[in-house]
Amino acid sequence: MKQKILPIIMVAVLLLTACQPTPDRDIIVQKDTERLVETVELKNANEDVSIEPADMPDNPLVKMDERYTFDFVNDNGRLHIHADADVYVPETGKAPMTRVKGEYFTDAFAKKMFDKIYQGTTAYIVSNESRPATKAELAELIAYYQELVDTGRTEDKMMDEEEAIECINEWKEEYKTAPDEAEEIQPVVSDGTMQLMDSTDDDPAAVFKHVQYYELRTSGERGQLEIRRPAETDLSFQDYLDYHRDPPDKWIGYSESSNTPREIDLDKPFDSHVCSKEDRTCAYGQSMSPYDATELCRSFLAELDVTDVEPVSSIDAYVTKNADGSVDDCIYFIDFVRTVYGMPVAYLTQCESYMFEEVEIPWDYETIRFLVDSKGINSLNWHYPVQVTKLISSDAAVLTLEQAANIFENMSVIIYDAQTDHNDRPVYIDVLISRVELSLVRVREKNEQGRTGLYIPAWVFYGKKVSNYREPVTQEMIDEQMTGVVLAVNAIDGSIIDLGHGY
Amino acid sequence: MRLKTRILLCACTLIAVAVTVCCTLILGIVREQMHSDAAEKAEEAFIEARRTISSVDLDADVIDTYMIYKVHDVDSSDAFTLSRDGNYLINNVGFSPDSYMNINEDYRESNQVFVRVFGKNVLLTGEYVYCSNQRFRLTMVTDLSGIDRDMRALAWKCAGVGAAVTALFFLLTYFLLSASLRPVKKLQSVARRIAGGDYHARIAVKNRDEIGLLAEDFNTMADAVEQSIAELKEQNARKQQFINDLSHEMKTPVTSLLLNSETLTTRTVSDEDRQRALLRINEQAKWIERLSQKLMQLVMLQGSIELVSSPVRPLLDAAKETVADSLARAQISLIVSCEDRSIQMDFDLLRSALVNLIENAIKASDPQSTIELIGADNQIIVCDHGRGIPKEEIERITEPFYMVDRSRSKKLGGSGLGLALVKQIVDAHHAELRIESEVGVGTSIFIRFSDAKR
Repeated sequence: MKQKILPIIMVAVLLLTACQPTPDRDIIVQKDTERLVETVELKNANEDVSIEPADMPDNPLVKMDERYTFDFVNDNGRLHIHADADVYVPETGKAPMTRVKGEYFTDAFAKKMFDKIYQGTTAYIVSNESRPATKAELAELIAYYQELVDTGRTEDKMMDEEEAIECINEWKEEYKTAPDEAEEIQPVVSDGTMQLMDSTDDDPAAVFKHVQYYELRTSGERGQLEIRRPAETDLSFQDYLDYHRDPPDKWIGYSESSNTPREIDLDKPFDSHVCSKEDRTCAYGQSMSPYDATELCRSFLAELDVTDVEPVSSIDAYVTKNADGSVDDCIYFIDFVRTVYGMPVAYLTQCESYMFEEVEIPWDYETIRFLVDSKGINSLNWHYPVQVTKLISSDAAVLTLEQAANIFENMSVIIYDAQTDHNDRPVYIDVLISRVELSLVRVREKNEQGRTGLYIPAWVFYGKKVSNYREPVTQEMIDEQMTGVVLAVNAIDGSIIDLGHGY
Repeated sequence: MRLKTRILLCACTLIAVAVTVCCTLILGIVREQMHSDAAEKAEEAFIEARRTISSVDLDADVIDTYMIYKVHDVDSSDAFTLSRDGNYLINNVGFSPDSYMNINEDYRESNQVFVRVFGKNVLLTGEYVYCSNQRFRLTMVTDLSGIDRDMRALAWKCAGVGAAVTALFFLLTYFLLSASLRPVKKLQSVARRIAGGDYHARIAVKNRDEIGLLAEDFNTMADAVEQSIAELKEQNARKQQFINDLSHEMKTPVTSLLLNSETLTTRTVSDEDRQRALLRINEQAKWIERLSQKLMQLVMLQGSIELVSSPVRPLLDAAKETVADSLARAQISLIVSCEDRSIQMDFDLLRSALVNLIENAIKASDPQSTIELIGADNQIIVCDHGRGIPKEEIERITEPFYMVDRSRSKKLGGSGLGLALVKQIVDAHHAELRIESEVGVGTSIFIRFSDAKR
């Protein structure tokens, strides 16, 4: 019996073994960005991408003789698209394409920046630590918050009664060991070295609870410098650099009520003007011309060995006035864009920051912004820098202006026509195109857990979009304006680049 | 393997198999339901996305741009692929969904298929989309890794629960079995005691289940065994006593034979003494012969006898005739009276019994007395008017070799086996022997038959 069972079992095992799931088909398809790269590489198969580009032109973009014009009004008259724009193309006549990644501020760069700013003066490390409160200070706090609790006004401090009482109890506990006299913390002199910092967020709602980053944060008579970059692969953090010449209480802030981030908040009357970077005059009585201010910034960056930058063509000037109407000062907003193998990156100021719930890995567009006043560089904000890692093509085959315009004319109508009816509410939209440019736009790789992407040539249509609609409750007419990129057309494959998502 | 172990193993194996089968079925059902839910959700999402792609009339140069834009505008656009004429316009999923699906071109409805790609289960929902006379293929890829993960977690939980249930079942069964088999152990213990000689050991019966009934039967068996043992012991004792008595009885005549024969062979004796010795030898030999005959009859009566219905009268007459010489010598008369009846009998044995009774009556009676032999109703009665039997001796007189007056009986040639033989014969006839006697008055012996017929 056993001799019969064993062969039966063996046959059964063999049969069951044969019934395995069908192996995966080996059909791998490259992602969109890779297909884009492949398309360019195929078309430029003989190109030698190891060759360094020749001298960078002074003006990377040149204006074409041809202008772009277009007019459209939709059937119900709510959408009006008008284009009467200069067209700019790279002076080199080439459209490069590269791989990029999001990182830049190395220890060496930070040291260089530190040395340039402070140049022989002493700068101290700005610490997050604060001296312990004295008994008197705590007593004052306790008394104040207790009054808020007693009078039911804890909401003044944006907390409920329970939270206020908890704070009071903590301070009472702290009071027992608090010093009588204020203990000053001795400042530490900085040598320009970035320090590894560790931060833990106890807020249960925090997305990133534990963050590690490198930081150089200093203060001296030449100003305050703050440079940060994430440690290792901490994707919660993006590089940034902030420099302010003046003390914090004199910083020039942006207006919170403004529709654009470029409008500043000053404590005196001012006139605002739009100037050209080439303007060498002081037409408004300012002490420094726009061109001089621009060159000041350029040389500042050059001293840091940052030469692959180009100021944007238009500069906002804010001319402040004295009580008697005389010119007090002029503050220039000067934005720079990176240039890559002679081609500038598009000037993207109107892109919204990523919301964590929309995009898992935030990657904002690089901004380099100077504020220049009569004394010189007031501040520098350099956020989310990008580094070119590999040249894919020094001259990719791109769509012509006509092809790009065709796409723009069709797609802008489709896109904006859909916006003229919002919740059965009529919206009147005017789109005004003032400039068309062939420049580089950064696209990110989808579904990648990191900040990697491409600089691809794109036809960028700049202008202004104005939306008018009546607010349903108050019936007030609302006027919304957006100035910046109206549409960006991928010059390789003709697709529309969604700048909000980055691809 | 012990019964408890066998039952435990079998039960636990069965429950484990049952739990496994149930869990497998449940997991299968849950998985199907989850896949069905996922398919439904995917269908809804796909239809929602599809709805946003309206057909417009565009140039061929722009149609691809339009389609890419519309798909990018969909929520979770990362999950969608878009292709035309086999070339992907959008694909960030890493594989070619078109290769796995055969979308029905006749129907403008979405198709769904579950596939396994790069070690993951995914659901493909696809459809042909037409725009400006161009046909595009739109597919949504839904990653089902979450379902697989949940199923794995559920499978582990089921395994844990199954193991716990099996373990619990094992423990419960173990205790139940132990409790159920405890009476069997008691049974075993009592059986051992009985086997060891404690025939009084019994099991307390507490309930009426199978074990209880078995215990009852065991107790009944134990009662029977005890009784049999007692009977055997009694029989053994009686046999031993018989042998002892026989030895004792045999000893006397054998001694006498030896003595007398030795006298004759070793000494010179007178003719008178010789004659006396020979006479003595003859008497003892005859006595031994009678003894052995009675013994033989007793032995013969150990087996069953064949009873035949026969009239009583001839039996009594035959008995009278057999003892006629003894009656004449003792000058005693025998009066026979009998009703016309028949009984089941062995004629010779019953005659032998009656002869014994009559000869005992002769020995007990004085000359010129009478002995009655009566056959009436369903009895045969032998009645004498002799010296009678003391009441305390009546119970024992049917024992082999028992004699009320040993010396007198021997003198009269008694062996002590006659009434024992009569008792055996009466018992073999399924009759009852009853003795009534009064010292100095006489003795009546009744043999009552149960099937006497007219």
